[in-house]
Amino acid sequence: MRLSFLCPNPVPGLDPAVLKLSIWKELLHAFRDKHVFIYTFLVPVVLYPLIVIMAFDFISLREAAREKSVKQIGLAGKLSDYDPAQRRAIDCLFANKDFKRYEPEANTQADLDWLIARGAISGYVTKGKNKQNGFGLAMVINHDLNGIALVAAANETVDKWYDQTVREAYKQKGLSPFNARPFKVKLQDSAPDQKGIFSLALAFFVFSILYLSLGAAYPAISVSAEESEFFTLDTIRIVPASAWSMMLGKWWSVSAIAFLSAVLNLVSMLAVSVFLSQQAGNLIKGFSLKSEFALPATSYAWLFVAYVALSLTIAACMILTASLCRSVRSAQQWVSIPLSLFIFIPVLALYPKNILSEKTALVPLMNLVLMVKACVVGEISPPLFYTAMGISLCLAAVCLYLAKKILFDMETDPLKLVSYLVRQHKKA
Amino acid sequence: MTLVVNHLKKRFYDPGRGEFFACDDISFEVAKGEIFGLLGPNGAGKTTTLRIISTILKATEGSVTVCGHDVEKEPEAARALIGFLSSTSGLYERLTVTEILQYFGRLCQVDEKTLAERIKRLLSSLQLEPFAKARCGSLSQGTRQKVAIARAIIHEPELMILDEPANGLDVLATQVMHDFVRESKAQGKSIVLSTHIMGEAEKLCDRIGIINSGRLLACGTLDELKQQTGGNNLEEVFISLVQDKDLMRS
Repeated sequence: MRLSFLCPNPVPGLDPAVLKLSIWKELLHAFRDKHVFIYTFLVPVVLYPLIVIMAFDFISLREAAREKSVKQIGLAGKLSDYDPAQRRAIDCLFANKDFKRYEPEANTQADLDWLIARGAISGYVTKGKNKQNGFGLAMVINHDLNGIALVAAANETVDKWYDQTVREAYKQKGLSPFNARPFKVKLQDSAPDQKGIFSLALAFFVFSILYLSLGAAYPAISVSAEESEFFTLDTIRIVPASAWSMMLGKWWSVSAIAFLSAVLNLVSMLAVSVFLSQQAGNLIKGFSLKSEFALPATSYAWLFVAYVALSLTIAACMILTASLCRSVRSAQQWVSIPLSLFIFIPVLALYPKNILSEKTALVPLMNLVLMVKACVVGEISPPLFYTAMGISLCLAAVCLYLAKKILFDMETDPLKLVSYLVRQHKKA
Repeated sequence: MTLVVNHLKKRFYDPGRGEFFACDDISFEVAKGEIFGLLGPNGAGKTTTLRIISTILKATEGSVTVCGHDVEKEPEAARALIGFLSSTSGLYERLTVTEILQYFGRLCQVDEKTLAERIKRLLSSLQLEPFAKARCGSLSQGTRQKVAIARAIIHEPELMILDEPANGLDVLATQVMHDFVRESKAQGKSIVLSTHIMGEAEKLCDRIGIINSGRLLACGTLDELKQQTGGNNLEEVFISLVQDKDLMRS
């Protein structure tokens, strides 16, 4: 395949043939590295499903334990405010030993909302707006797994009582029982302004950025520190070929592997999620994997662009770090510093208040992660996206320039050079 | 002249030693088809000199021309004429022998047809055919050195720079190396060979430059050096020159 279109020609210092050759060599050399194989393919593709399955089992067990535990349920207003039928349903609910009434009574709805948000109560019973559903009762619960399970349990408790007593009584009297559930369920987020906080798609994309960083680490070491350690850098320094083309070849190869790592991780996560969605559907009523990823085509296009920009930026930072090292072992230690940073940034970006704005668009790398977040929550803003990509790619260009200086032009250890400059400055 | 080194100086900085000259006013020439030996103890400045000639390092002062091309002003033209080989073979561990030769041949802009012929010829002449598809990481030290030789001459350079090429090699691998040097000379290639092994320099070199503490102490044929110092063999010549220098210093 001709790759010359990737590099404009004629450009001083760039040679498409050397670039193509460099990409071929770097990819071949990197793919045969067992570290690259483990961290780029094995970990995201194989280890991730294991983690997810374990996490899913953990959540299931936790939910099962929660279902068994006694739930504190509040009551809006006084019991005497409710009509006799409603009181009987409420009594029935609290007759179940799994539900305990929250004391003191006579709370306002606002108080109870706050108590839910704090986690002090699991939910509360209040009057519905109309009585079309039979009892005219509503149960307000938090919109999470525990809340959904709670409603199911509450309805089941009252349904049982209703089926055994009211329905039979109506039937015996020859009357038609109303056919409805005792509680009308109202789901409520504890932080309704925190858009996208529970988005599974967002978690998937942000999680894959971690693997993108991990996927870039070993290829970056392979193209820089390993070349120093095995003296292959000397051999490519003395060939009559453009150093910039070779440097770009290294950069694009590492970026491609990092991108591939993230994509494989996403595919793996989706595959596992499809596999587990049936069980998830049982656990979370109304859960739909398809709806979680139902993003517009423009969002996916921007996501692709953001991932490419992330791969290029992270690869450049990793190459710079690894090129400062003279051995693979030391590079493995030093690369852990930017790696920790790149793992921390996506986690930070998950905070609901962190969104892509005119200010955050100026923070390299963080802005790209926030761009991914914006794409997932549907807040497409091309001017901010261009700014974010421009700033991050500027960082990548600086890193690449320094790495090229170190790998191809520098005559001494850069750290020694800095030490020398500091001494000269002190002497002066 | 294939190689002209003119008043070459290279200053380094080391936190322990401060500023020092690894090469201090070094000048010599190498004619076509000549083997020039750079003989000196460890740390004398041999490798630094060779790295400047091969464009890996830049000189602080002075100039180097390879077939009329200044290595600083026209590095790519000079590089096309240079083949560099050191004791550290500098091979990609996970590439096969053929892949390495293809990679370097293409980097040196050898056309595909010529490259295929040269690879075949080199694999045959260096007895590397059984290892053509083997990854370099799995090869013995001697075989790796043969691959490094093939890599260094894949573009048929005019000037071969050999930096202590026999270091760490066994007797048989050293013999292969020496045969390669003689064959290159027979083909009219110029060779700069750095070594600290007297026998190797005596056996292979047409002219010898003795280097110590970054300075070229003497330069000439073995007979000229013997006459100059009154020594009977290269070892005596070398010791005499180095001790004289040390006495002058003290």
